[in-house]
Amino acid sequence: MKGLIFDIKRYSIHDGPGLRTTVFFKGCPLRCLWCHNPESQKTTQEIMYYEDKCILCFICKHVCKFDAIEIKKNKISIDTKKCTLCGDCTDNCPTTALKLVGKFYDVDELVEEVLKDKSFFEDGGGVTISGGEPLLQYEFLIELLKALKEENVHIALDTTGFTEEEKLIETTKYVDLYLYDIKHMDSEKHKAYTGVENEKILKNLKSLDKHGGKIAIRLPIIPSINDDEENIKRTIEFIKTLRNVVSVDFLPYHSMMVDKYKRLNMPFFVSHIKEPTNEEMEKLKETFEKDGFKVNVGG
Amino acid sequence: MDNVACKVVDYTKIIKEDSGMNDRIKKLRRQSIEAVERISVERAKLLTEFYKNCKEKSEPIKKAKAFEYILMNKKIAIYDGELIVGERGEEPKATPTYPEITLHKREDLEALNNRPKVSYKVSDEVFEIYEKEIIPFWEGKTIREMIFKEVPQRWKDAFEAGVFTEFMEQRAPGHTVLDGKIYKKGMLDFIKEIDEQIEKLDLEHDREALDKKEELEAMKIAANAIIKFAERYSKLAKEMAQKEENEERKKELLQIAEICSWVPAHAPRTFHEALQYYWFVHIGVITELNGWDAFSPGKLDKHLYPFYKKDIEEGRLIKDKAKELLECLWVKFHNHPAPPKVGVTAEESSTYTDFAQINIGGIKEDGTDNVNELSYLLLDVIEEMRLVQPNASIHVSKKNPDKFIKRAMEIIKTGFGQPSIFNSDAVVMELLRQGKSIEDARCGGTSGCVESGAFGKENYTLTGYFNIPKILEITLHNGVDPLTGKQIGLKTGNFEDFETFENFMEAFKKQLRYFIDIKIEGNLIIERIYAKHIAAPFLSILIDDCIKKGKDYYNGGARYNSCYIQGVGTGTITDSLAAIKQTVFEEKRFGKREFIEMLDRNFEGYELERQYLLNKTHKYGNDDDYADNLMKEVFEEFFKNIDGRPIYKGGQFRINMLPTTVHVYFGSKIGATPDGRKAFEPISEGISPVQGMDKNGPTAVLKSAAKMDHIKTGGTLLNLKFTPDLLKDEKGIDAVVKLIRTYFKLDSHHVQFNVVSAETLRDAKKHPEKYGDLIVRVAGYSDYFCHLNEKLQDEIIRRTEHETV
Repeated sequence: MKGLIFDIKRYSIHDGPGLRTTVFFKGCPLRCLWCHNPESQKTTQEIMYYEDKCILCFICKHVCKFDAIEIKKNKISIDTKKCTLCGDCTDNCPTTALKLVGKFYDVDELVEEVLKDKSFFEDGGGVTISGGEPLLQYEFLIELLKALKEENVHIALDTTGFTEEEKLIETTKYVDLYLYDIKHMDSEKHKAYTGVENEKILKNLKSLDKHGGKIAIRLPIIPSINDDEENIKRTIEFIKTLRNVVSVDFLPYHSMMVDKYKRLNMPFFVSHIKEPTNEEMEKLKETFEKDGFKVNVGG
Repeated sequence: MDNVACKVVDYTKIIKEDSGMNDRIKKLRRQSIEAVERISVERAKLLTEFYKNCKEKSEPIKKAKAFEYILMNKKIAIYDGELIVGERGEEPKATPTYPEITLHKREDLEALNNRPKVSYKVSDEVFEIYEKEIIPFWEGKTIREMIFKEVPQRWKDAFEAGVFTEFMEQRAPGHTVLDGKIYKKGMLDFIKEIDEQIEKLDLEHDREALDKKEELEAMKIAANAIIKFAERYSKLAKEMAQKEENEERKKELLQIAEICSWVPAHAPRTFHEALQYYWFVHIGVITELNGWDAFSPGKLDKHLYPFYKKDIEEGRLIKDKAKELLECLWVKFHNHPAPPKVGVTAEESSTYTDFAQINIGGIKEDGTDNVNELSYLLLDVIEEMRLVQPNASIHVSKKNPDKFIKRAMEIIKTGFGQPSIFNSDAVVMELLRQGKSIEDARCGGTSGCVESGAFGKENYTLTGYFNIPKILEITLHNGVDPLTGKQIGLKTGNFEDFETFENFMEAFKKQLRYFIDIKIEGNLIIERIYAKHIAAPFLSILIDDCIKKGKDYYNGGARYNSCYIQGVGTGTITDSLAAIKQTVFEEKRFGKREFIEMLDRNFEGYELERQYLLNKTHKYGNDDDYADNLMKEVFEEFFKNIDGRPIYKGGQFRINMLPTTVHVYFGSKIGATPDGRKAFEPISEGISPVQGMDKNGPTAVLKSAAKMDHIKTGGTLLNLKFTPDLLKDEKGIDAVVKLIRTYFKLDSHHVQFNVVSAETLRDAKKHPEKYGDLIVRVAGYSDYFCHLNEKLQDEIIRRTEHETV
């Protein structure tokens, strides 16, 4: 069994306590308009094109056995219908302007890779499994969790919660901390902005809470989308009903990922949104703190 | 003030910055920063006068008397507001020359005066005295000339090709640090010890007894000289006090007079006396000779704490006063730039910094935690003073609290580059491995950039950098230096004829051994020249067991003697070998002849191939065993061929891995390398990865670096570049503390952080006038950014940019 992973990030200090290594699973059932990792969405490998790195040597075109690469206006254009993701172009691209996103790992291989920093994990650090939505690759995830548990490392699972309840609850056998996203309290708006309704997500969160999973609530703060008073109020009310919330983490919107959309040839719909200011974040933080929550800005 | 763009000081910044200190310190600090580095001819003139009239036959006694003559006749002054007194030159930053070691010719002086960076102003008077008195007398008599006369041609060939450098060709071997002895004994006590040793000499049976007697007599002269030198200051302070109208200052001057009449003759009684004693000793050591790495008090918190505690308990001192006194000492260090270097030696260490490294924290002789109240006060001083000199370091043992590291990180994160961070438990292991006793090892620490030594008991000379990537270039060209076409190495075979990578590695190792042998052959010659022609009786009083043995510091007097050769280019050599192994021998992507052709043409017409080498090959610094195993193989080979070989004065050759600024010079002596580096670009520094090639974050860099067996070295240098935002909050600081703890748990030696944004640096390069006090970490030390040459500036900008990608 293999899992499709699109990134492994070491020295990750904002995805749970201590020093961590974060593994990013590829594939996500949500399509958040502000998605910071658009390469996480598809469940298949894909090719990213870094135009700024391209020196137009056309080696990619020469090595392509499927005639999928064309040059258009001094740019590489990949015909996704012809492309088989064989990797010949990305392997041979001398400047790494073409990059194959997504690598298949078997569990042992992945464990070896993420435990390279094990010596740094002491005092609370560990491995965070993120995505995408890790639960989309459920069987692989469980195998990975088992293997990591055996290695006695702290495990955090970053999830959208959009999954079958029993699958989520099964992970409580292994997971030490959940990083659980609440994107919007209004189901209709949730669907409009993320492509799915929020009932299942909120229900799963309650169930997880009941089963004793330690939870860090993650709130992406997207100005004009979910930072209005009403939504914040409802969010707080909801979180108050939970017993096992250890912290509330704000993930302020940033536009650093806009280039990624270009590299994937994907449309980006929310370019009008501005990043929240520090003052706005401070104010919001105070609002939550009044209700007794421990708040981290930036996770 | 012409030709000194970098010396333009931004007052608004200074005023903003010096807000923590009192008016006295503000003024002294400002004077020191504004003073222009210039050549002082005083020492050279006095020395020449002395030698012209000297009839003394004994070498050590002659040196001691010269030392005395200089100290008795040099100009002295006490500046307004000073509490710690004593200058090497006539005024702050007036820097003497040492013509007995290296004689500056007219063109050297012109170069010092005119070079855009790290210049020393030379007045017309200095030029004149040099031409009339100094050059005619010393020409043909200097150590530098003796060295170049005696070393063999193959040494010169390798030296000129940039295979290695030689510290001792322009500066005397120094490299030592003081322990606690001066805080317990005055010079009169040392004289008593010397007399006892003279008494004990066995003139009938010990064939060296007469040599020892001369050496001991010389030490006595030197000890008395420093006492008399202090008395001159005492007298001056008294005279000034009589004329002083300000009552406060009058009191201070009288106190200075009293202190200088007590120390260094006697053991200090107070915190203030202890500091002044050290400073006289410091001036003595750096006036006697131009030893590399100046001199350092070592573990200042340990030595001064008993005085601090006692003075406070007895109501003589308050914390603020102690801080003020320490800050006065800091200014004194800053007033003393490194002696002027020229040629290759200037390039390998392009800085005014003279590498006095104050050690803070770590452990005591009994192995217990040495962090005390004074450790934190010293960190306050560093934070307030923000001066490039003295260099400061914290020593982190598993026994020290996290709080101590966090306090240091608060200073580091401001982008000042100090203090650097050492693993005190690893330093102890390194010294133990070399055969030191556990107490002497624990009493040790680091000096210069990162070098471990047994403080107060060891002569640990750095003898030159060794350009490991250059050996690869020579191997690829069958012993020929492609830059000159000269056959300087062995004929180990044409690259085309190597069938396996292992065969090629064998050839590389043969060349490495060959050039190490040449380096060591030269070292033995040079060490012998120093032992026979140079004595340092004053320094010998301070380092155990010179008195007991009746031997000079330069002639095996120290309890431990080590000679270090510093390996340079870990990243470049590793990435280059990995590229050859992968692309030529495994993938067979490039033909062997084509590969050499690419390098010889500096990749002209081979840009795609170069891109492949840059982006698609295994690189050191990514926790990738493919590359890291090659690093280990080269390191072990370097170690094996040097460590333990005998030195002239009795002791062993050792290795360490640090570059100061030589990686720029070494790069300028190497054509294109297989890792994709273009000709003449800098090679990698310390044990850091090639600039910009570490792509898996800091933990991967640390893991790669820790695969080297640091305990077999006497110091390694790792630069980790951080942008300020990585350290902006508590979480960031905690994370760095964990990084440091883990790296040290892996038995690594040292790490330092450069915290600054690329944008700031680019602006500073364009507008040096705006950034007169911008300090960056270069290698084992910090320097003013605008003092660095353009190549170094660019390199630091590149490092920073990489971090923010």
